Amino acid sequence: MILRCLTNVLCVLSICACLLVLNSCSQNSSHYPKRPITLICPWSAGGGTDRVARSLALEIESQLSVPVNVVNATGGGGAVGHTRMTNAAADGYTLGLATVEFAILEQRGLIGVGLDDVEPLAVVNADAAALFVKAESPWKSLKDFQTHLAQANQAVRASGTAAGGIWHLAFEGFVQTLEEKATQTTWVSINGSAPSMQELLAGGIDLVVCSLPEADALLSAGQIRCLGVMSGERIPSHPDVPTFSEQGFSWELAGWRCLVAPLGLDQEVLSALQEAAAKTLKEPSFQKFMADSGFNFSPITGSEARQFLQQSQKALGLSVNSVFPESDAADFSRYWFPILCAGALVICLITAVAQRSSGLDTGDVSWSRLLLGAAWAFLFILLLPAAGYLVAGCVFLLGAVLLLKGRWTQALVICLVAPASLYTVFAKLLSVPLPWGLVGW
Amino acid sequence: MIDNAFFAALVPLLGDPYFWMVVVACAVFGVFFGAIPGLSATMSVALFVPVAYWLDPTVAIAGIVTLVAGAIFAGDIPTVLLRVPGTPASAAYADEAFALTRRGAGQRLLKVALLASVFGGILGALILSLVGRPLAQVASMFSSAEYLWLYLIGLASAVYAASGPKALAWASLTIGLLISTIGLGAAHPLPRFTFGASDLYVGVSFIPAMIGLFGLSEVFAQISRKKEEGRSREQIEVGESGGGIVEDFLRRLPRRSGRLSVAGCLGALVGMLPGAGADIAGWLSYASSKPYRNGSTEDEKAGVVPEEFDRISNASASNSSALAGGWVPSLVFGIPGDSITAIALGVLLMKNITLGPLIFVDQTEVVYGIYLTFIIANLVLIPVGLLAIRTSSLILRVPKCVLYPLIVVFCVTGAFALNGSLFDVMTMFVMGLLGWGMHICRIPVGPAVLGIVLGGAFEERFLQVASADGSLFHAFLGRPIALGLAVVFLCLLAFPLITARLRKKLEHA
Repeated sequence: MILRCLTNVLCVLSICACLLVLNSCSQNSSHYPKRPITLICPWSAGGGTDRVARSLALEIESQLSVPVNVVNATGGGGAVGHTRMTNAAADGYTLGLATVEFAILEQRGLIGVGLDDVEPLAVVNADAAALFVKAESPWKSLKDFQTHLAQANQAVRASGTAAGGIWHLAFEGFVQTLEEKATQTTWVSINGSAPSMQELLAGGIDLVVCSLPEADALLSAGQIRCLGVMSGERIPSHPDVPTFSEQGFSWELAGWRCLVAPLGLDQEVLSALQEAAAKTLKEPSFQKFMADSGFNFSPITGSEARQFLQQSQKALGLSVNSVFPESDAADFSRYWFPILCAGALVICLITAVAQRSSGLDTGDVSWSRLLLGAAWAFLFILLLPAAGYLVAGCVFLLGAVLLLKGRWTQALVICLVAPASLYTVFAKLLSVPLPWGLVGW
Repeated sequence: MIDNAFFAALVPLLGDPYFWMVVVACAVFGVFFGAIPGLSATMSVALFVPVAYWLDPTVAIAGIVTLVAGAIFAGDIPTVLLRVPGTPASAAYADEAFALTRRGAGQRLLKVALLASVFGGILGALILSLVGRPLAQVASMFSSAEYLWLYLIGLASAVYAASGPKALAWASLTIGLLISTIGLGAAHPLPRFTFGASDLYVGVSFIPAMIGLFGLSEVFAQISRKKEEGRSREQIEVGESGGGIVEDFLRRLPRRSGRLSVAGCLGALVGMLPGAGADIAGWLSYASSKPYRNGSTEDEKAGVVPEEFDRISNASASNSSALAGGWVPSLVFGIPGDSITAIALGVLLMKNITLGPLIFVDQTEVVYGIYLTFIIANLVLIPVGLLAIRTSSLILRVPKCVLYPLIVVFCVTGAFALNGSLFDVMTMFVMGLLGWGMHICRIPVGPAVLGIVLGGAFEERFLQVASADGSLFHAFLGRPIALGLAVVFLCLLAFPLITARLRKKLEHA
């Protein structure tokens, strides 16, 4: 019996060894990059940043000849994605497309990292904010809007992004430059420019602040009107839209996107990436994409990229501090909804107990088996980042099948076939990232 | 609608071998993506973008439409076979569908769902092409107040759709809503319940949560059953392969088409509202067909189609028609209804085509091309879907001692692949334990899933409405559509109470 077990273990070990040798043979080059690169996009799939990230990935892929996978790490107004791209291992296999919200989050103390913690590779574009109203709106120019603010007493409702986003900042900053104000302005927190436009058409808000490409379809159809763009000069793709300064308001603000890597890369890796980024921005197909999509392409590479970020950080810092004077951490209102839910939950449970419809169903539960199973699955998850998908999957399946009293042969077949085929399908065919582990697979 | 431009779009399209190649390839790819929980329809479309760059605009759109139709249908496959829903829409009927699988009806159910899905998809395409523009005008009247009531209707129907005592279903919903408040608040850019962990800022992402609540919790529940001990080398009972279901469906279609069409229309209507979409549509149709109990008793005796099939096919049909509905705002206003149409919009933009009101004047062929591809995509789905059902049903032949570990590996892989984040895997694991706990307490998990999906948007809309100036009554009920939806919501709340009272009266009489 023991002998048989031993032979089986030996079998597994030798097959694992074969796999190891095979894999290391296929990757004997020691140069960077030797495995797929992950590009973190802090915003959701389909948005402007995502589109830029995906076409950037395509170009870098052909420059470095390894797959570049875009991962949308969304949420927290960009905090999640930016934190992840900053804290990733500085091995050149994780890049990020940072956006202007990084600087705002940093200024407001909502994120534990800052722009100084990343290595800027290339600034890709800078889109100025613009102010839009419905076509039926009585405001034809910024002057009209200013007069309305000075006279009327019905509050103005505006949106374009979630509260605290770049367009909110652009709007509040502009309104603060106006001196006479009889009317309140309210920023309605709506996630993204597309739903804001919908709300504008539905009449729920009076104006939207976002960039020109985000409003292109409705603007060219004449459903909305642009009162002005917050840039120094007119935008080449929209020559008929006047700037704020032309209309006598000195206010400029633009959002940018910048390809970054975690700080502390090896010199060899860093120069390879910088070179790839610089080449990418010069690529005609990429430039055509930027132009076709209506983004205001403004490539800045090398050390100038860092300077650009530092300037932006400074300028934003001033306006952030004046627009959002203090973030009230003791604010109670954000907890009212959870409290309401918790109250409702308690009422429901009390009702259920009163109706005798609730009750624990534990008669049939074998706690030891549950604990063992859950612990084994948990161990598998813990093992993933260190051992990599293949090894961890193998070990987990082997153990789990045996725990469930399967036969040795079943366990062996499944632990060798399943992870390898899943890995091939996900990582090789679909280029979806899986945990790489220390060995690289 | 039929004019020269229509034929100008139709003829070259159908004659183009490239078009057919792309559509078939996309159908296979989409079904594959949808069948693996964690690989979302959005992700399949995003991966298709680099390819779409080299294609004709109409062919590219055909590819995207086919991908999504395939992925949304295929979301039913793991739901039915393994109780691991691939999309929030199919979570509505996960419990009931899996119960049918254990009775051996899994394959038949999937085939019925496929045909209903195709039916709904084509119906949705017809609605899109015939009345898309007037509908879009209605959609543009939806502001926060209307959305708020719509969300409430969706949440209430999730409770209604759940089995068991209603108090427990409401409890489940509030658990979901509570989970959705973790992270940065929708309307307050300040963190809640994050305990300083920046990973929690994003909150609990609903796909890993769903995989955990349904899939992993089922594994935990099964392996911990004392009765299971010693039987783990057996398979889940597999029934007959369900041959002849196509004829059966067609024979029954005249009788069923009324209710299927209602479900399809409902789907298209809800689907066209940006942000509400297919998720709510499936739940609404499922819940609305729950109380029906007529006509199918003789069928059930003959063992043809039990009534669960009707409910699930209604939900499936409205899921698919919601997809076409989602294109309404994108086509008419250039406002993407969801992330998929947003990507499609971006692809078209690269080709110098801007969706929006002008496209109906300037580039009619593109519009007709989109209408046509919806219909073709759904037809192509029938053979591909049947093949996928046959292949995937093989998994039921795997003995339980191998199947359960495999499901765990699937769950982990899916949760990780979504965002490339180990944190999501941990979320999935925790949700698996929570789902098991809820199972033990006899709390249904379905409403919790919809609570997690809609909670953030619901709270956000609520705060937007409540922060409006003027009286609260006016803000919530001042607009005619909002008032109408509020009445529907109240009826939905009152309906179970009334039927319960009526039943009591009948019993006494």
